[in-house]
Amino acid sequence: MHQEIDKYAHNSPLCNLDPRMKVISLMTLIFSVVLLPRLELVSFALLFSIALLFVSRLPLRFALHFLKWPFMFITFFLLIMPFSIEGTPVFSVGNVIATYEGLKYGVLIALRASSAVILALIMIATTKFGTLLKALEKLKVPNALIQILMFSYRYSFTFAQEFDRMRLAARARGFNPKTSMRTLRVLGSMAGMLFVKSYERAERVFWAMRARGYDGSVRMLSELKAGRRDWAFACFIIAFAALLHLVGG
Amino acid sequence: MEVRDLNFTYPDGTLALEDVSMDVHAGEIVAIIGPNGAGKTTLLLHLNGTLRGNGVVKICGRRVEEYDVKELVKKVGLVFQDPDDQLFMPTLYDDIAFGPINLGLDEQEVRRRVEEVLSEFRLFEYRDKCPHHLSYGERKKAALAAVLAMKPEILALDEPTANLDPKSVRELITAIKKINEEGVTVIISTHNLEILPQIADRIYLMNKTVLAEGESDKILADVSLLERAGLL
Repeated sequence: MHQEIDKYAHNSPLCNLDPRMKVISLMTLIFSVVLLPRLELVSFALLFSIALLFVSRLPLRFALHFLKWPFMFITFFLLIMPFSIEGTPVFSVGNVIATYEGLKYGVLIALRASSAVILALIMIATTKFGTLLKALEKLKVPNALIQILMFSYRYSFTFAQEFDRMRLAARARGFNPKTSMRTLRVLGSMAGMLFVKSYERAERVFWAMRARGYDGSVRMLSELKAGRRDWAFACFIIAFAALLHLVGG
Repeated sequence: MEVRDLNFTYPDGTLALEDVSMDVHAGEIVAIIGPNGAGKTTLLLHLNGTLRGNGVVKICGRRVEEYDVKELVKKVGLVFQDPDDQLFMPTLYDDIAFGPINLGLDEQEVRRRVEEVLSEFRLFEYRDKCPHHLSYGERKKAALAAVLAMKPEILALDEPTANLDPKSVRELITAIKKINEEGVTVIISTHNLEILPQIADRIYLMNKTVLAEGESDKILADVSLLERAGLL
């Protein structure tokens, strides 16, 4: 039904790596990639990201399922950028002119972003979500942020289920979605209902948390250990990140 | 537990509790029965200070207002009706550990308690699963286990048998009796009348206010009383 992002977090060669090492090294690489100024280097970084995706053995279908949304966004940039920078004209659509500089910049941004989202997917999808949160906690990420991630993850499934139930119930009463004002109105009130339900649930969840001694922060037990393999992986990734800039500089 | 002349009105003006008085003695299993909207849940939410109405609620001889939040939570464990309201952590193990960690116990003790309730409720194999992958019955058990890991003196359960299949209901009753034999006072809100003779020492019948109190056989035999309460 709903595709879960940590579905393959148990059979990837990267899944047993210490999540802290994964987060630090891949985040370093992501920042390094998005700051790269030269097209050749960014292309190389993208190839590296794709290679890492293959190493991670995440199924391609699964990866594309999650990557298609950011890719759509990136495509949009690719289409807009050529027309928004002044420079040498290449072609024109109507009376808007695409420039060589704009084209180059658009491709640069698109490649950087693609590489970054692939790396981010590798980081998230090869780690159990709970473990990822524990790693973030150990890395001193603010607790409020961890809680936001935790609740978004947990309750997105509950809300999706609630919405599915409402849709089924509507269908059982003969509702047949069409492109019409009525369909929009019905879907609108369903969404409204979902908001009210989540608001009420939020209150009950808070009560239940307080009933178990919640004091504003959520602490977790963890048994994270970084071994030689973890350090080796982190050093390799960070070295690659540094190398991209050494070559570029 | 002692409740005296408790009144509570929700912010939207709905009267939920009217002059409710109730006593539950240490070691008892007491059931609170009443129709939907009778204020049973509202009453339970007063026991650990979640809601504050007008009147007196005393736990172990002290008013709830006088307790520090954590002290009160150690005394009164509250299991909510919908387990999705209660289980929020990414794995079952972490969820059960949430309460004990908040009590400030050291890691070893937290792990000991979590593993104890996991094996007691035969949930050990699910420890690394996320709550939304468990069945409703398992989630319901898990919610109870998570509260028991805090070792409360009083256990309050809101509709513990709602939506459960007969086998789960039977297991739940056995579990509650066992907990009670270990010295925990149990308060159950329910409208599942079938289970009452097996489990409740006494019953309070309520609809906004307390209508009757007594042994379960006596109350359940009085059909006209149950009809007047709007329960039958």
